[in-house]
Amino acid sequence: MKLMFHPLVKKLAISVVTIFVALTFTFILVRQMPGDIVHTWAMNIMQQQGVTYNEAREMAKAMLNYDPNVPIAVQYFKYMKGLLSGNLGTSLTYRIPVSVIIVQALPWTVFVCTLSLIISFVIGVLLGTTIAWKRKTILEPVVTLYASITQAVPDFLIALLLLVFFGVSLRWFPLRGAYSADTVPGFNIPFMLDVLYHAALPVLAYTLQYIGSWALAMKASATSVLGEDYIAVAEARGLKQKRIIVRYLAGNAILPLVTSLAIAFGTIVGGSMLVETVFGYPGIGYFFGQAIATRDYSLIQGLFLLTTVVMILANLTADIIYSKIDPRIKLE
Amino acid sequence: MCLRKPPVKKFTSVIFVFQLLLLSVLPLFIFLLTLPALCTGCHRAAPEAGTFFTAGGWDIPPAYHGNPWAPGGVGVAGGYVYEPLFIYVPLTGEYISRLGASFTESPDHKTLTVKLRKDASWQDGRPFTSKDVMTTFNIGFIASLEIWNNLESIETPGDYDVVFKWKSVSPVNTTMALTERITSPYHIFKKWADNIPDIIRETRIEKQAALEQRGGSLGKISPEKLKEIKKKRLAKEREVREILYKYHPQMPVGTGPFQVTRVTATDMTLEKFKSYWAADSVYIQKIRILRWTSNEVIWSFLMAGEVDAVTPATPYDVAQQIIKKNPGTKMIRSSDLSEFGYIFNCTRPPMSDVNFRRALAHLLDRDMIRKVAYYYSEPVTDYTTGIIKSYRGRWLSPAFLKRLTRYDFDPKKAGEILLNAGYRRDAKGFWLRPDGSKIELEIIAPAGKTDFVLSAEAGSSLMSGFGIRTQVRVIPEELFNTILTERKYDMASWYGPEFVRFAHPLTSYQRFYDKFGFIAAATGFDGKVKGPSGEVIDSRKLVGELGATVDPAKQKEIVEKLAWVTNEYLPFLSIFEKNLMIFVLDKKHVTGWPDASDPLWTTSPSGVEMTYSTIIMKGLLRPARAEEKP
Amino acid sequence: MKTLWRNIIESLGIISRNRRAFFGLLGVVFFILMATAGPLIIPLNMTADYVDRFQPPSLSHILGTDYAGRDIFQQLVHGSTDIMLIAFSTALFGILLAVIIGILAGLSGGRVDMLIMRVIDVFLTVPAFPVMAIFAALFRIRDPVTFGLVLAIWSWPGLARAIRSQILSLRKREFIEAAEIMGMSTSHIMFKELMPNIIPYITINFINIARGAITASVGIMLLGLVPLSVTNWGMMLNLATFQTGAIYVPSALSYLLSPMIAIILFQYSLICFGGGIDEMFDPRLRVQS
Repeated sequence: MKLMFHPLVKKLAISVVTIFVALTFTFILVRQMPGDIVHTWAMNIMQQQGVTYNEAREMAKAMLNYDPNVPIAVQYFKYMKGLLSGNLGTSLTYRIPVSVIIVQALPWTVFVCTLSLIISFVIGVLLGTTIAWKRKTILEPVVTLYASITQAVPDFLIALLLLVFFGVSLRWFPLRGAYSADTVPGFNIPFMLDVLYHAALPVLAYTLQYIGSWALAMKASATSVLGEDYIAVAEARGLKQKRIIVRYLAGNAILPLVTSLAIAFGTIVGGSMLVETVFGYPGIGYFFGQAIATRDYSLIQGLFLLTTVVMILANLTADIIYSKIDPRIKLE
Repeated sequence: MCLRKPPVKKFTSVIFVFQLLLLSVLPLFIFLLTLPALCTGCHRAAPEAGTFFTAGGWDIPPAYHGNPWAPGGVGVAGGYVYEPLFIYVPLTGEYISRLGASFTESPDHKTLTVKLRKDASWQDGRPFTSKDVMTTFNIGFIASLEIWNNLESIETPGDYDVVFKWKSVSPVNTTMALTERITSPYHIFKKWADNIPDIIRETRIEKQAALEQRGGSLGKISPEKLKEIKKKRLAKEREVREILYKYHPQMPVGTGPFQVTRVTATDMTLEKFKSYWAADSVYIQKIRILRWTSNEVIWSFLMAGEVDAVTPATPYDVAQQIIKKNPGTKMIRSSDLSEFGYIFNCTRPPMSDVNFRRALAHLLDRDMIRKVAYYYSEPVTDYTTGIIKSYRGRWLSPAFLKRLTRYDFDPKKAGEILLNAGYRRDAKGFWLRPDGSKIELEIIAPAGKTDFVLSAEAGSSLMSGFGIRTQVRVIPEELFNTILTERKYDMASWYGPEFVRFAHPLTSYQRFYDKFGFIAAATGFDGKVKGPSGEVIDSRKLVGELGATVDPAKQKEIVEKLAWVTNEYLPFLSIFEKNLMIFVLDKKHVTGWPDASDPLWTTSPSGVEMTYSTIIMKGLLRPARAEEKP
Repeated sequence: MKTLWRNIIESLGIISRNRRAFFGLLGVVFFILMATAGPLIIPLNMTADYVDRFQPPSLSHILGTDYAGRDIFQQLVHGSTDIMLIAFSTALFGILLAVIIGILAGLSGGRVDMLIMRVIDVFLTVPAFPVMAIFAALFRIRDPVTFGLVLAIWSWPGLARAIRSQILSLRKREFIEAAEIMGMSTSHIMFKELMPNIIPYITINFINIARGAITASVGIMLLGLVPLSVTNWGMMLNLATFQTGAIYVPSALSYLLSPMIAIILFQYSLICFGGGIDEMFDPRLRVQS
């Protein structure tokens, strides 16, 4: 028992340390940003409310919960203490707890990312299996070319192209937002359809980007599975082709890809800033972009922590899945 | 690879897809669909006919609250929930009755008497009385409402009578009093309001004593005592302000035609206030406000025909596309009562040299900058007087204007001015300062504000093309004001002359030359200069005089002097008079928008929501009927 | 000297035999020429001419005009210098960091190695784009080389890890052990042996880091996080999408598409070229294709 859990515990410990280091790093980083934020706020308060500078400065400190005169170590300790009790601080621009923003934004990102990953995965796996099984088909060069082209196009450029062609020119899809003004959020069919309708372009952007790499990965994996004895045995036994493809070929070849799926999820959540900004989609990435642009310290920190944790969880999941599905590989 | 693949006859991909779909995708898909539903909350009724869609800003809940005085309160809803005594129409000078029924000014302009409407009530059911008006202005005292510079006292001889007594007359007193939104019912703000008359009285005693002391006579109060009183008063004031700011009711309570019923991160819903005094003529049942994030998002709402009225600054071609794609859209242009241009940092060389500023005025092709930055605005290509162009005729005669230097677009002249002032070009054609040092300038603009950024960019490329090396720096919006008032810049793309609210030069010149004026702080130019005939003009003093006279002839005389200083010394260069671009969509959800020429639109600079609410209150806007839809 | 020339010619020969790699080489050379010689041949005229704004491609403006009537092609050429400098300096600084850190970890071993590996772990798990965006907002970026430096901070760990494992595997080889027994200076031998082994990694990573830098810098500019420079490709996209409304104007399509296609072509050339280099260093790949 002890032996079995040991590697996992070690992995977990490393993950925790990584999160901790990343957290410390951003804490220091964010505090190096140019411009004395307290001063800026004090000036604004002074202009808006007509109080003296000193008063305004005190008010700003209170509102920001941040005092530049306090040594950074003390601030750090305070922040960590808050973090342990689940307090991520208050957003400077939105004036609400960072955790509230995250809770509101995360579902949208998870929704779009998961949907696009699943769709691209299914299509990619299908293409990859077909190519591997059929060998000489016209699909092979087409998919290879497609994959290397999409590799050259960053996802936000795909997003922009989709926005211009399907949103602006053809007017097939809405341009921005997560749902339209005249629907009523809640458990009702029109709203859910509307949400899907609005998510279509963002999902398509990610999907188009990922299909190529899934197909190539599946092709490679399936080709190596085809070399295994059990396929030959299955053929020799005269099993139906469909059964061979689904049960033996695809089933076995998919396993290594599942781990990549977890990692891709982490990457896509961490990198959603641009696509969500292009579509004005109110997810994690959209708020991240806004937070950096407005130098919203606490929000940057909170979102950075979130993306890091998602990434680490994704890596951890990948490791665990890998060791589970392939008995030859143990967690190192 | 020794293994041979059997030839494939039919590839059963269809079945394969189906299996995968059924196994993994469908359940997940359904689960995912419910996610957004879970996070956006509970059931609500669908928007019925008679909903008006627009866009605006507010603080995301839970920061949102209904205290109009505390930071983050009310948001865009203010224009629909609250009302002033009257609405001032700048074009005609007319006052439209809201909470006030009528008003009279005393012949010496020292008192203003307002009779209130008797049928108005607050949205929580309590009647509206003169006490609420007084409460609003009293709380305004600790929130530094400008009116208290001139207001002596506010009295309520009857439940529906309010008397404003002025300590000094001013051309804008009446408008200032009548157009303030009445936001604070006594029954809610009692706690604070009851404390404030004391604070007002103490402040007055202090000021009187301070005046006496400055005059040399030792008054009744010793300087030490005065200091002590002041300290005590400030402490009390701070205390009241602090509890005031901490008061966060969920929703605002006003007297206006609509009540806020729901606020989320993406939209806000208001419903008709059933007991509104003009409820019979309000045909709009609901207002749905989308959150304004940036102009380009608003453009896409307009393209999709999702909003009925909204005012984004929009380039020519985008506006044309919007109108083309939604034939029911009309674009109404109404002066924003402000001019837009470059603020010069007059304390930093070479901007500190008036010749350099004049050369720039000739060099910059202002009409071109206007087209690139804000096509639908009125060009200002001749003078920069501090009087916005559409009001020039009321204040400055053609004969007077002839005496001012005209800054027409003329790069050759710009070069001559520079050469005469000792500047020269180096071998590569770049201009050098008279002392031989390089010129490297920066134009700053607030991030995210397209029009300011584009105008800064157009200006910088013109200047660079002329041999004055210039770059654009985009500053985060919340840092922008600070950088300006601390003068850490060369040129800034921002507002200059402003006539908002009172349509009077006073506002504009206070910005330019008052001790607390924003432009004065940003330029470092105090306007104390030699006049046309060698006399000393003290602009700061003149602004003070302008604010204390109701005599039209005297006002005109002062305005001419200030216009002369502004134009000849150029602390600011006007490029255009900004127009609001109000896009209204007719017959989709609502119909009956007034014509573009309707004077009502000129009320929009002080808050377009109040303009919409006035249009709705007057019964002009109605739900679009199904057969009318385009 | 002679052998060096022969090597280069041979490599070019390998690349030109592969059509895709040859295309990549041509593309890369084209973009380098565009960035270096281009601005000298094609002058940049930024004088606005509003009447001519958002022109579709024509003879006088082969890629059309922007929101203020200025030639897009000129801007693209002058902006390519920035992109090239960012890509090149990121790759250079990134490689430098990776080589130093990788060799340090590989040679020193023990605790230093472990610490460096943990640091690399952190760098590899923390999402890169947000960090780069924060860096971009943090440092006042005035020139492309600084931008490259900033981007390089997060682009070295993968290569450093590869170099380290190369060194570790090298250490186990017999001739090193023999040299050690004979009391010869191992580091000299290692260095001589190491270089040919890590050069392929460095070359491939140079291209990959450069590609990553292009994507990241364009993304950061699209978000508007660095100062305005109108001719910059990413900034052109930002202006077209968020500032001037060009995406809504049909005749302005070229303003949006030109920088996009330029970015995509450059990226694609680098991918193809990188593929060719991969084959050059790894003969097995050549046989297979």
